[in-house]
This record gives sequence, structure tokens and C-alpha cells, in this order.
Amino acid sequence: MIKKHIAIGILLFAFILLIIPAASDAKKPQNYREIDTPEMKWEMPDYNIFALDNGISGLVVEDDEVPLVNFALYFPASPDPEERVVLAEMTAWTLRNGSSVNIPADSLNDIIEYKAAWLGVWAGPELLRIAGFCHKDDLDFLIGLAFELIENPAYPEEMIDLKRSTMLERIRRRYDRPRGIGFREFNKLIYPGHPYGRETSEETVNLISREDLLNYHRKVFNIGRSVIGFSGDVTTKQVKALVEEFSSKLQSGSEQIEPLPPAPEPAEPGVYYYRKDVKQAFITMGHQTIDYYDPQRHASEIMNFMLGGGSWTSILKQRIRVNEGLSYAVWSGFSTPVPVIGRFRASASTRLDQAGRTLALMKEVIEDYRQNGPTEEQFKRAKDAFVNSYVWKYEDSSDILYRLTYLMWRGLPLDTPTSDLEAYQNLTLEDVKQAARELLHPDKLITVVIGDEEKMDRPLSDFGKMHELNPTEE
Amino acid sequence: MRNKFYLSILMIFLISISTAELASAGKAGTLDERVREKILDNGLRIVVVERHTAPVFFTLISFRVGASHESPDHSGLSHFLEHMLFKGSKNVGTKDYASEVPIMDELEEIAGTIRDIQITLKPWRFKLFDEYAAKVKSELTAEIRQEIGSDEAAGWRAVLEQLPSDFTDLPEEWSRSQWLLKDRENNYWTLYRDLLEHRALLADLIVQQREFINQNELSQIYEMRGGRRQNAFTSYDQTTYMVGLPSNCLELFLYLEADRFTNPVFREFYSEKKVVMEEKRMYMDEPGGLLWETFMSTAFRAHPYGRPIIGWLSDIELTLRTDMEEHFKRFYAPNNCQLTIVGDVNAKEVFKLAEKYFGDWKPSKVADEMTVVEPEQNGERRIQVEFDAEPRLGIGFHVPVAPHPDSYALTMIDYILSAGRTSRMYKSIFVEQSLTASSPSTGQEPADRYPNLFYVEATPKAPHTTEEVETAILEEIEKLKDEPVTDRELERIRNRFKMHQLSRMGSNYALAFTINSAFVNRGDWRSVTEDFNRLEKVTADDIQRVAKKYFTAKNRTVAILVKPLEMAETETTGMEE
Repeated sequence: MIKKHIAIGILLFAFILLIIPAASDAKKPQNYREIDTPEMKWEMPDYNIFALDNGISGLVVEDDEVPLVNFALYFPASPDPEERVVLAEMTAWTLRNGSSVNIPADSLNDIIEYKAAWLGVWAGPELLRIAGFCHKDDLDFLIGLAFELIENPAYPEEMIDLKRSTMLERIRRRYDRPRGIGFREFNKLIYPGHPYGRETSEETVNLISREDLLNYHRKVFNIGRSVIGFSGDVTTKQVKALVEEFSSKLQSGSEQIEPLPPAPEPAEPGVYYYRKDVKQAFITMGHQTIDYYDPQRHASEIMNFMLGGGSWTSILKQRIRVNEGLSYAVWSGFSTPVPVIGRFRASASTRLDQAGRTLALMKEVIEDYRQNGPTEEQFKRAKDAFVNSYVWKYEDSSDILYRLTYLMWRGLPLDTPTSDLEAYQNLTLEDVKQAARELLHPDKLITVVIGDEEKMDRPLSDFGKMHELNPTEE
Repeated sequence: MRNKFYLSILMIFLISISTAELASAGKAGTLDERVREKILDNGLRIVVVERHTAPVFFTLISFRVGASHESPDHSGLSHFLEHMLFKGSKNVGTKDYASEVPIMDELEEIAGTIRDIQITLKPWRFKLFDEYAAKVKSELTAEIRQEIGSDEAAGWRAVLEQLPSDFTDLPEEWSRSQWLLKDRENNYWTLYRDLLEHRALLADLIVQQREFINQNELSQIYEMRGGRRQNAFTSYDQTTYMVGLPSNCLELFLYLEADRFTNPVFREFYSEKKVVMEEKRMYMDEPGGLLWETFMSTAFRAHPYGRPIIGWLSDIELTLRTDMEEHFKRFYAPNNCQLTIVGDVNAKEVFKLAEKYFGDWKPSKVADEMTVVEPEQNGERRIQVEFDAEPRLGIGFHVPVAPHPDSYALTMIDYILSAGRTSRMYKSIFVEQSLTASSPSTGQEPADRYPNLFYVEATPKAPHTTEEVETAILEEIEKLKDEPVTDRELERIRNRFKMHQLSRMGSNYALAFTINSAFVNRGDWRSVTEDFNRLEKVTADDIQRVAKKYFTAKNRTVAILVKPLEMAETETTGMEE
């Protein structure tokens, strides 16, 4: 039976090949443009929201494809105090790894990993997040553990010591990787003294005590301010009951969270140079931008996309990588954070003896783009890319969970993805040109260069006032 | 409630809970139930999993060729080729292909001349001359530089004008060294000037061809239609192209990919070569990457796993487009390829369209298996790598790969030693002894088709040294030989595998990569299930036996990253002050 099929297959194949070779070609389009990509209609998947009396609000994306559940619990947090940079990170790490007063850390890890579940605690300057992932039958158990950590944290001294010593080692390894140095120094210059631009030191790491962690914990874990999201094989009813049960014992504290301070004045424009014996110079340049609420946010995203953002076909990539072959990794980013003014940053790494040429070309491209913006064709392409790729924001239920829970925690409308999409659709070429003109400032560029200037094709002082960075002499 | 909660924790300690639930597949079913496969007459494998949760699909097109299949003087060719397959075809990426052809022919001739001259000059002489030219270039006046702008050819011509035409005008230390510049056969200085002239010609032609090129067209087409994760990667045993697309792009995708692999044009080859060389330099500045590269080339003396995937700079530099075309013809055939599509597609439609677009792609006699066998190691190998960075340590043992029966026990050992907070190295070396900056990592490296290494990497935490960390790692390895691992450790890892099986059923990306790796390493996606079943059966005895067999001093390679000697000395002095 099988043999027969194969024989027919071979005969047919030979027939087409020998007698009418054009037959199969005739059906094929001559050009990809002839192939239709019918317009797609899709909708944001459903989700449910709930609110409990104790102030906790929640969101559920029900999806029973696989019997698994993701959850994320968000708390607003305070930025680290200046003399205790990394307080938040240290608290988050020690909370998870130090476990609770009732469950030794080893036992906690053992039961979680035995069930092949995952529980993580993460903290940044404004947010502390506890997230988990498990089989649906283990959800009560994992949520229970998360709330147990909040209610009865241990913060054992030996775990604090362990975290402290790994942080000190991280400081020691700070100058190992050229791009690590570049990004860190750049942030320090864009946000001097601000939580976005602060740097840990041995002193700040050593100063943090168990008491500091406990105080931070008390302040941040205020259940009345929290938001919890679920996705996966659960029902809203089930989840609501579960959260109610576990969160009922927790109290809403009265301590206020300090907001992030506004962005400070950046350092003066110019070239900041760190000498390191490497094969490539690492160049990063940029300046402060706008925040999330700025009316030009949408235009700025498309503007940067064509300049050097997400696109494979951006102008920086085109000129510096594809045409000149000067760099493998060249790109730009333009951030518009919610609470604070963001930053524009363009980076490239290149052989030392073409660092000057690359730096000059990057500046030329930015200046040229500021004056002229994208072409009509580039603009249309970028807009299509934004609009047509929107569907990816909803690929998996966990994507939706994280996206929407974040919005809820921020107090931003949950239909933001839809209104953003409309905003992109309504943008005109002139909007984007205007964004380039008004939001790029080649005269304000702070340029950080890592490498060995002696081996470079041009003196760095050609590109602005020189500042030597000597971070090892802290 | 609290009581109930603690009871549930206690119960876990008292009885080993049944994990039957983990094995149940849920609504999604199992991989075996969900895969649809068709092999075209030309040998192309098409593997589809339908998932209609979102209107998108994710694809991998994989060829079983990589750095393992290159000749020693053409290292990096597979990876470079991967870059070139983004440059379009006779139909895509061009405004006028017929006009490109003569330019590309000329480019090839000039590149051949440059290559010949460079070889005649010998690497050391070429380097000396080239550094001299770079110095002259960096000393050009601002005025000349202004004139040159970003015109590379003009740059080389300006350098040529500044360079002495005769060796008698050269710097004193050179002109005294006649042998450097000239011998009975060659006037090397004249040859070098000739090389620079050719470089300028090459740069001119590259710009000239650009007029006829529609740069990045393939990427643009995907990008505009909402493509995501458009990329490719090369390893020792595969070159894989990926993209995710909205589901209205299925036919477009098949058209473009068939066109890409049946009609490619390696345009912009000589500008892309510079990009690849910059990529190589970027890795050379990464301390972890440098340790890795040196480690592998020490552990493997014969097998190509010892060569960097990206190749050596000198090989990349001398590669010609025609070398690549040969490599392409040899390995890029439908019978060496699998197309994996996971997501919102209809399998029958995929097969029908794949037949339409890929059906007349001609199979070829793909080169045989790579046959080099690494000779048995006959003693510990130990090296130091100097780099301006804090210390790191790598330890490796030669081991077999699946389907060799021992490989499954080695995979279990990998998890026992370093997966998660319950792993032995995490608990002992990172937490209890507090010797390292993070938990040491382990893995079967650098690829999985041919016998590889069981590799451990760690970063010591000062004041602890690489020696202390090495001792601690070897102690953990000895323990595996001395006493059987516990049932709970084995069960925990089995549960983890089961969970992984479940969770990947909910991800286009994870499913596609699972299916693809099985094809690359084992030649058939079905080995996913076979490997899982064999992993499940590994016993504590197997682990003990395998540990004794492979983790021996004779079979070991150790590499340590250290600061350059002079730097380390300065720092010690600095600290004493």
C-alpha cells in the first residue's frame, strides 16, 4: 500500500518535471507583491477585574489551554535612599531567599521546586513584585507561600551577609565588560544623583542593616495599595476567593511611599572617556527626553524606531552597519518612563582605529535626522510595522496578565493598548518630523567612550569637551 | 486557614505526593498527539503544530550545517553565510539584478587580487604595513578628512597620496630593513600600495552596486506586516532562520523563504564581511566569551567543537564570495532542512503551499556526517587566559551525547548540580561555603550532535580564589561517585521535566525550538519523546556509574581567567597603600 503511493508520487513528479515543467510555475506568483495578505480582524482577549474590601484589586485572564497558572502581585515601592542604594534589591532578594519565620529557606525551596513551581521577588525604584508560576492544583499552595513571606518574613542575618558579599563582588567586577561600563557611566551622567543614575558603593552596601530591610518591608507591603493579576487555568471566582482568604489577615499600613524625584540637570555635554585595553571602542551618546504623559510620546516612538530603534532597517543600522560595515551592534533607544523624564541613547562598538569615523557618522546621522526626519516611505513602513505587530502584545495569556496588571498598578486606563494603537494610526509624517526636530538635541549629547584613545583614528577632543572617567579611584 | 496551609506543607514532607497530575496533558494534549509532519519528495521536512490561541505563528527553518562542517582554513563560513541570507535573492532586494551581475563579477576579481597580495605579503608584514597606513590615515589633516567624508575609497586614495611610493622614502628603521620591503621575487611595498589601490576600487564598486540594490528588502517586508523575532543563528550543527508573523502572512512567508533559499544573491558580501569581523571583535572583548573560546580549543584538539563558531579573524578576512557559494551549494538542500511552523495555521494548507513553493527545490547529495573523532584525552589540560577582568573558572570533561545511554544520566547530573535553589552547587558552594558570586553553572557543551563536554563554570567571590572554587566543585563531583543521589532529588528533576513538557505546549516559540533541536541533534522530532522517556528511567546507580566513568582527572580540562601579570602586580601594590 505504502509502496504504491510512493510509486505514484514519483511518476507524477517525473511527469510534471519532464512534460510540462511550466505547469507548477504558472501557479506561482512572479512577485511577492501579488500575494494577498487579507486584513486581519482580532480583538483583545477577555479579562475580568475584581476589587476586594481591603483595597486589593485584581485581574484575571482565564485560559485553560494548559493546566498552569501565572500570577503577579504588585506593590508600589519607594526609591532607595541615597545612602542606601540597593536597599530594594537587597530586601527583595533576602525576602525570597531568607524565607519566613515559620519555614526554613531550605524547606521553602524544596517544596517549591519539588512541585516544579517558581516563586520570585523583584524590586525596582518604584515597584516590588512577587510573581509565581505553577500547576493549577498547586495555586493555593503557592499563593499561600507568597502571602506567608509578606506576613512573616525572616530576613536572617546570614542571608543578608550572603547578598551583601555578592553585591560587593559585583562592584569588584564592574569594570570587566566594556559595555557594562559604558551604560553605567552614561546613566550616571544623564541622571546625576537620581535613583536612575545612582551607583552602589562598598559603603552603601555595608551600611544596610536588617533593620533597614524590615522597615522597607513594612512600608512597601501595604495590601491596600496592591494589585494582583492571574492568567491560566483558573476562574475569576476561584481566584477572588483565594486572594480574599489569604489577604484578609494583612493590614493596610499608613506609611506613605515617596515618589521618584524629578530628573535632575544632566551633566554637561561633552566626551567622557574611560581607558580600557580592548579590541573595540564602545561608544554611547545621548541626552534627556520627555516623559510618558508628553503629547509627543507616540510620535517619539516611531521617530526612534526609524532612527535606530527596534527596526532592522533603521537609518543608523543602514548607514553604520550595512553600508559602512563599521559595527555589528548599532542602535538607539528613546525612553519615555511614566514618572520621570526619559533618555535618548545611541550606541555602537567598533574597531579602535575607526572609532572616530564611527562617532562622527553617528553624530552626522542624528543631526541629519533631526533636520529632515524620515522620508514618506520610511514613515509609512514604520507605522505599518507598529500597527501590524500590535497583535503580538496579546500572544500569550501571561503577556496580557503582565501588561494589564502593570497598567492597573500604575493607575493607567486598562484600554491604554487600544488608545495607543489609535494614536499610532493617527500619526502623520509631519508629527514624526516635528518629534525629530524637537526631541533630538545633537548639541546636548553626552558621549561616553570606552577604549584606548591612543589607538583611535581621531582624538576624542574633536567631539567635544573631554572628561576623563577614573571610576576605579572611588 | 493558616493551619490548613501549614498542614499542606507538612504533608509534602511526610509523604511523597503523587505527581500524576503533572503528567496529565490538559486540554493542549501532548506533543506526539499534536505534531503533523510531511516530507516532500525532495526530502524537505515540514513539521506543523496548530495552536489557534492568537492570530500569529512562529517559524524556524533549520539546516543541519554549522561550524562543525567547515574546513580548517574556512572557519566562520556558516555563520557568515547566515548573515548573507538576509541580503535577498534575484527577486527580492534588487532594483535591477542584471545590472548587479557584472559589478559582482568585478568585485570578486578585485577581492581575489587583494587576497592574493595579502597572502604574498605574509601576515606579519601585512600587519606592519597596514598599521602604518592606519597611522597615516589618522594623521590626515582636518581639511582632507572633511573632503573624504564617509567615502571609503577617497580615504584610501588620500592615504596612498601620503605614503611614499618608493621604499627609499620610508621611515628610517624600515628602509634599513631591505628584506622587509623587497626580495628577489617581490617588491612588497609596491605590492602593498597595489593592495590599497584595490581596496579603493572595491569600495567604489560597493557604492556603485548599491544603486541597484533594494537594501534590507526582506526584513522590510516582514517588518511592515508585523513580523517579530526576525533573526537567525548559527551553532556547530545548525543554521536556523526564524520569524514570527501574523496569520495572514502564511503564503507570503512560504514564497519569500523558498525564494530566499533557492535563488539567493550574496550581494553586499564585502561590506558585510566587515560587520562580521566587528561581531568577532565584540566577542573578544567579553571576558566570559574569551575564556569559553580558549577553553573549547584546549579541550578539543581534533574535533571542530574546538573552533569558535564565528571563526578566526584571519579566515573571515580572506573569505571570498565564491567560497561561500560552494559552501551554500553543498549544504543548503531540502534534504538537509526542516521547516517548523507552530501557531495559527492549518496544517493541510501549510503542506499544500509548501509543496507549491518548495516542491521543485532540487535535493543534493549532502556531505556525509562530519567524521572527525576526538582522540581520548590522555591527561589533565590546564590553561590560563589573560584579560583585564576579575577571575573566572571553567572545568570540563569529555562525555557522550544522546542517544548514548550514559548521556541521560549526565543530563540528570547537570540538573542535580545546578538547576535551581535546591541544586547541590547552589546550596553548598554559593550559599553554605559562600565561595562564588553566583551559583556555578553546568551544562553539556558546546553543542549536542557530537560527543561534547560536561562543563562547569564559576566566578569566585573575593577573597576566595579560583583554586578554592575548583576544589569545592571537584568535591561535589566526587560526592556523586561516592554515594547515590537521593530519590527526592531524582523525583524533583523528573517533576521539572514534566512541568516543562506541559508549559511548552502553551508556547509557539518553545514548541518550535523543541521540535527543531530534535531534528538538528537527532535527525527526527520524534526523539523528543524518546529522550524524555529515557531520562525518566535514569536511576541513582546509573548516575554513580557514569560519574565514575567520566569525571576523572585524566579526562579533565581546566581554564582560569586571570588579569595580565603586570596589571595584577600594580593592583596588589595599590591595595597595600
